[in-house]
Amino acid sequence: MAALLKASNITMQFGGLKAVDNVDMEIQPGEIHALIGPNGAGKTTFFNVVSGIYSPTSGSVIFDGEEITKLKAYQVTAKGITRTFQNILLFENMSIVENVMVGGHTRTDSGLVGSLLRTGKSRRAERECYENAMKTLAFVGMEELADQSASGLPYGKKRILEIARALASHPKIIMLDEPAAGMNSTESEELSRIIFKIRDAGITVLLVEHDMKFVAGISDMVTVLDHGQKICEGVPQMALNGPRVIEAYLGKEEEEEEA
Amino acid sequence: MKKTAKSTVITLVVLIAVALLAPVVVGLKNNYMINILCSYCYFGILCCSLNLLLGYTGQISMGHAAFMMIGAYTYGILNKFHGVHFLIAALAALAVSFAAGLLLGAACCKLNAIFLAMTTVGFYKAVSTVIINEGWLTGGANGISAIQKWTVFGYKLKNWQFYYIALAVVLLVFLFCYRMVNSKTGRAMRAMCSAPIASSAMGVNNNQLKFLVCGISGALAGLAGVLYAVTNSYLSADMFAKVSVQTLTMTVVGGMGTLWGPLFGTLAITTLPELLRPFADHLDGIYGVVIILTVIFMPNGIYGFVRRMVQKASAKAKAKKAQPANAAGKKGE
Repeated sequence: MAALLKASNITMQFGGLKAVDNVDMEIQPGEIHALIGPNGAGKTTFFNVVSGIYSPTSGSVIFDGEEITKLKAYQVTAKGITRTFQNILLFENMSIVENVMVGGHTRTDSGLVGSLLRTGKSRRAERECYENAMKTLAFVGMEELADQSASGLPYGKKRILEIARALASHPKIIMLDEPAAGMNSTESEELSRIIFKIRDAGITVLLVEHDMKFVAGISDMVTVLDHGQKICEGVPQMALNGPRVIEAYLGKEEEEEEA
Repeated sequence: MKKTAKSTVITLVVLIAVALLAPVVVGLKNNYMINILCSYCYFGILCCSLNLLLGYTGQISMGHAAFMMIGAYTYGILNKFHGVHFLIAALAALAVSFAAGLLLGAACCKLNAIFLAMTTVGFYKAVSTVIINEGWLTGGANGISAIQKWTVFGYKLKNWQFYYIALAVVLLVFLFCYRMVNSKTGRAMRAMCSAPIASSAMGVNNNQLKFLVCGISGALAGLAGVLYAVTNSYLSADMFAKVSVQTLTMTVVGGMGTLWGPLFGTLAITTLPELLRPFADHLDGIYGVVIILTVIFMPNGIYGFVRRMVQKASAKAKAKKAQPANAAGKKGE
């Protein structure tokens, strides 16, 4: 099976620091792929490279047979890759449904002139955008909160809203950056249900996560990064119990713990 | 699908009715008062323009008068010095100030916050210096005087008739802003204002959007400049010295990031200098104090303050209504 996302020899250098060092990664369509590693391993940097927020120092990203290495974030989204953020970045000044409608930005076909003149086409596009947003909210079980302000949501719900916003762009692959961070066990169970639902809807999931139990329970494939390098890849049981992985997390005796 | 609230419609109808009756009340021949009414119009447009930029897109312009000047002078130069028809001159003024807005857009793409604010102040200084020094083009320090009132099919419009045209333009601008902020573009603007990284990850081309909003904002400010030129029939660079701060005050005091805010702000702050004539020398200081007090006590401006009061009052009224009903229900059981 051809990989949906193929990152080859990705290196991302900030000054003297190689945050991501020559990493190869393939994501198969339809799988839930977890990217794990200790703090500072380069997971989020890798996300930023794939989603176009950073342009890698070297290496290439092929998505669905197309090179997207040099594309900007907004262009990457249009291609069908979407993401959430580790430090929740919602549009706090907008209502929940509006947040999700921004997620549908690339799929809404209404120009400014059309909107100013209220043409039939633009009104139709706006209605579709709204309906798509409501459907997406229903998908994650938040449709009743649609008109509330995003800033008033509890923490766990904010993370779910970020996922809904990302889904509204009809992605082929969704990248979740620590979706379970700060969630209690009820919330993270709810989250795994939603992630399975996303997978069942035919959307590939790539996630960064710290919670090992969560990763073991949910992913089909695990890639482990440490100090910017890939140290292990495989099915969860194997990858999580590999000697180098345990060493990366717990450290060797003489090694200092990385902050 | 946003439905227009009933209270919005009522407020709008009342405001329009007052605006329509105002010239009759002050007297159609009272040119002094009519000119003040016209100043509400151009300041209203200017505030809408700054609000799109500052309130909805989060880009600071401390030199918004520059765009107004560019619009006013383009109109004045073409209409007065080259005898171009007022409509064509006005359209040209829109085009030139739109282009100037794109320049600001370039700055917005590269700079943020305090650096952008400094750049816009510098831009204003540059524009006014060019206008004073390039006398061959702009009339220099003498300014442009005796700009004609509009003549339609040989009929020279009176001041109060021009006021109604200006009022119509304001309403059009207001409708323009209303539709713009409630469109896909408007959502993207608010999103970028709140979290630019997230908006670009959602597919918004931030830089393109900044150019677009800056261009539109510049053009609207230029439009305000055209009305300014016609109302005062005289232009000189120093007339615009306080306009940037005044516009900023109106937008912030009214409540930026809301459609109503700038209108309320315009009404309040345009009236203020007329009331404070004796203190005209200290006006800048008064604006400063007003901005500080607003930011501390009414961070969402007059509009936000009024809305909160109304919401509180209606919640209280509801609670009062609900109480006797509950009591009656309990007795029934």
